[in-house]
Amino acid sequence: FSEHRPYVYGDDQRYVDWKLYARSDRHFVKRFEDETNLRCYLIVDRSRSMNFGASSYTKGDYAATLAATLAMFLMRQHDAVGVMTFAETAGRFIPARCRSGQLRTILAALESNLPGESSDLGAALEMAGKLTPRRALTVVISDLLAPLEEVASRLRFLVAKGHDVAVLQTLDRAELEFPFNDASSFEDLETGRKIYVDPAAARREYLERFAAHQEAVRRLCVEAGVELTLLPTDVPLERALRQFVQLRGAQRTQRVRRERQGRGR
Amino acid sequence: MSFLTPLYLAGLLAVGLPVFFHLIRREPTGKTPFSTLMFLSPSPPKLAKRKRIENWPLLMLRIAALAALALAFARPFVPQGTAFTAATPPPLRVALVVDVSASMRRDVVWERAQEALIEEIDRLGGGDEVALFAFDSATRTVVDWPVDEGSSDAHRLAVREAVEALSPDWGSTNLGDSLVEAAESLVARPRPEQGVGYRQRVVLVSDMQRGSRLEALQDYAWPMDVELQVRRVESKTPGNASLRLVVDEQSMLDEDPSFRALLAVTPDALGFPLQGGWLADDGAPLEPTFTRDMESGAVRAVPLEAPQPVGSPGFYLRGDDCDFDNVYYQAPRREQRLGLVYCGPEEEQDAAGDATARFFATRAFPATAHRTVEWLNPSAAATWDDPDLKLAIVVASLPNSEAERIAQALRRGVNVLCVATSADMSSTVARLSGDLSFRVEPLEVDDYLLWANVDREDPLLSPFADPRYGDFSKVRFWKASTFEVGDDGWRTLARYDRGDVAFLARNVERGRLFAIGASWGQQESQLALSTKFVPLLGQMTQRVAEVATERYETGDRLPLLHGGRVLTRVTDPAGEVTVVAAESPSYLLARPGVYRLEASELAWDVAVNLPASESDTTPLPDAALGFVQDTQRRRAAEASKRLAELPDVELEQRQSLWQWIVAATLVGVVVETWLAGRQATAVSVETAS
Repeated sequence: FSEHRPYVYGDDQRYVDWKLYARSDRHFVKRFEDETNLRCYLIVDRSRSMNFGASSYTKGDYAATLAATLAMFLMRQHDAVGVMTFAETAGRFIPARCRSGQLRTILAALESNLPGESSDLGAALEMAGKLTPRRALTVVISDLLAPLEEVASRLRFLVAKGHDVAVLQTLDRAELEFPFNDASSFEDLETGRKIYVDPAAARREYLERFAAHQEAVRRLCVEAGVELTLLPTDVPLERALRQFVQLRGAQRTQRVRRERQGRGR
Repeated sequence: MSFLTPLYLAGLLAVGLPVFFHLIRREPTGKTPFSTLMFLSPSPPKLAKRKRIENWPLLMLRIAALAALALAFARPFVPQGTAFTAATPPPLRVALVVDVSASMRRDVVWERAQEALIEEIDRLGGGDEVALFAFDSATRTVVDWPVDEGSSDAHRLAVREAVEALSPDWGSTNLGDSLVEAAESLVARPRPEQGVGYRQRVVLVSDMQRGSRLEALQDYAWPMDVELQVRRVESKTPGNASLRLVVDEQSMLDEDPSFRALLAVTPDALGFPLQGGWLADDGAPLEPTFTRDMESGAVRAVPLEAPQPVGSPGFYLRGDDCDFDNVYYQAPRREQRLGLVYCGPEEEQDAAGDATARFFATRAFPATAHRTVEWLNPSAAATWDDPDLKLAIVVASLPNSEAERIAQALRRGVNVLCVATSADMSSTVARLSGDLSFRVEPLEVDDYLLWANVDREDPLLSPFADPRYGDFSKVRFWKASTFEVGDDGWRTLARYDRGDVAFLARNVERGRLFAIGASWGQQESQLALSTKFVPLLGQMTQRVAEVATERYETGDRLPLLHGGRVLTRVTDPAGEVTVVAAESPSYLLARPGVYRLEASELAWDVAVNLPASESDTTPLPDAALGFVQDTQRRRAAEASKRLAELPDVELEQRQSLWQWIVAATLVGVVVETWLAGRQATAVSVETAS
């Protein structure tokens, strides 16, 4: 509970304080911290692996557009939005605010590229945990193509601090299916390392190892209590956002149902 | 024949590789950028049909050119029977950097540091140079480099005497900055024009405690020819206990807040039985208020039942072996006098026998152990010049002359609360605020009004930001007015549930003017009977110009301007008085304790404590500066190797065989180009025919 606000036509009557009405003959609604000031942090991967894209736009463009769209919708509802970009280290951090000019600042941060040869999501989440002392909705937008050892503990830490964490994994269709045919020198966009690969011989092993990595990501998120949504970059953005919102709604309903069942015992 | 850089001969191996790959490999023609190679393994290259070499002379010419280049880079020379003589090691330049932070005050640590420094000075030879730097939160040069090359005996003696005269200060440990400054000082030192120059070394003497700051080294490219040696000095007994006082959250709104003692023991301690208590006003320890056994690495918060006695400068701790950080200073509660004025009817009961606003107001400011409260006479001229006057409550319309007098006091820093419940108060508030369009409009109230939309971000209402204290829904107003303002210098602190403005505030130079649309007499509202009334009026006695913080750390610089007042005198904990010069930008708080500050007629205390990092005396691991020392060891090996190669270098420079080889390579390349071109023409003539 945060404070009372005079009731106006259209307010949800579930939040009317009836005790106060009995005392005062006036209708007030209760306001809660999450309602009065929902904070949302978007943690966006800007490492070089996000510069990959088999179509005309890269994963980084897709992720930045997704983050910008989420920020715009949330700020329209007068919620505070902040952004942290990361690559090898944490890059720019913009605290959550809901004031004029905030969206412009967020867009500028999403446009800039960061130096570094790899993605360190664990360090970014650790920094996010330190810089966001109060509970918030934390949305991580990344391809998660990096070692996962530190990520699990950092996600659990954020959840334990009361953050509502969601992970949006953006991947190119070429990473999901490996449709290459010609043997060539494959170059790692993050490290610059090159190896000679014959796709015909390497495809099966790639798909197996990739599937194992995805399974590890899924398990990590389930254990940490974090929602995971896979967003291939060839899925239109509005469908991706709808899918994300529906999934959050379904999972919230499941969680509330489980809590009620627990209380009923 | 010998070679100066024989590793380049490995280039001869590379000459065969193009032939090998030409015969066996199939070159991948394309490059595919991909996000990650995490899931890919290299595929082995497929063998193609063997190809024949058709033009042996051209191939041999090309191989010869590449081989000659590799040979030239290897810098060949013909030894002439000169035996290598080891050169005398060049003289040494040593920057001695000694830690004089507060943690060096522990038992024998400083003595050991001085011994280590004297040892280093005694090891120096005749041509060696030395300078002495000392650091805590900032680095200073104690003895600079000698003017002439090489340190004379007199210079070394001066350094030795400076070491004996040095003593630790009270600052934190900015280790990174000190090493960077010492290294830069060595690099900036001029080098001799002939010869190899000096060996350069930074010798750090420090307790290397974990609270040291090293971040300056992270971004710094340590000079390649400067060695770093660390002489770590340790105390006799490991471990330290420390304490800090924090205000108990539950008592934040009280006049006499209570404290919690935050106790911490370092992980390298065995554990301590600790006792703590307040100090008397002369600094002597009073009876302990708690006894607690603390184990290694423990952190505890202990509530202190006893409040801070009047005049007490702080809290002591005992039980560990390091007492340099065992006092936490707190600005003493001095006897204060709170001056208040009530401009309105004198009666405390109305005709019906109900309590008036005056009745409640005069009881809202209780005297405490450290504060006396005096209600001053509003008609006396001296009242408005009283330096202890903090708040004037105006409940009735005033003649212009009186309003002007109150306005002057407001501008000087006295806060004014206008209880504007009738239209005739409009002119008074307008004159006080300067907003000549200000109007009070009484409201028709059917039953009662409530406050809604309270601005808890304003400093006056910030104590009510916590939801436990911020519920105003129980306070009913039966008689109320609202306001029409003429400019945007007002801040709305609260509105009624109908939306009308209920409570305003405005800054007027150094003072703050409040206008409230309802009184708190028994017939007007329930405000005086609510739990909000006393803290609300109490907050109004805080001046805009009040000093924002009373807590500082050693090494902080006190700005000389506080809320429009200029600091004139400072009395330090030892009693030394400093008259602050007008042109000084700030005053350095060099030692812990309670400082008395004076600015014209205002005087107040500030407490200065050691930085918390100094109490973390756990030693840093040896690898903390390893990244610097590893670079140095590698470079030292390269440098000594270079020294050994000096005679060969001179010989090779005299013979300069590489120049002949390069010239021959160029001739070979020209011949190869002519030959290749000629053969290409012959092939095309053949094809045409």
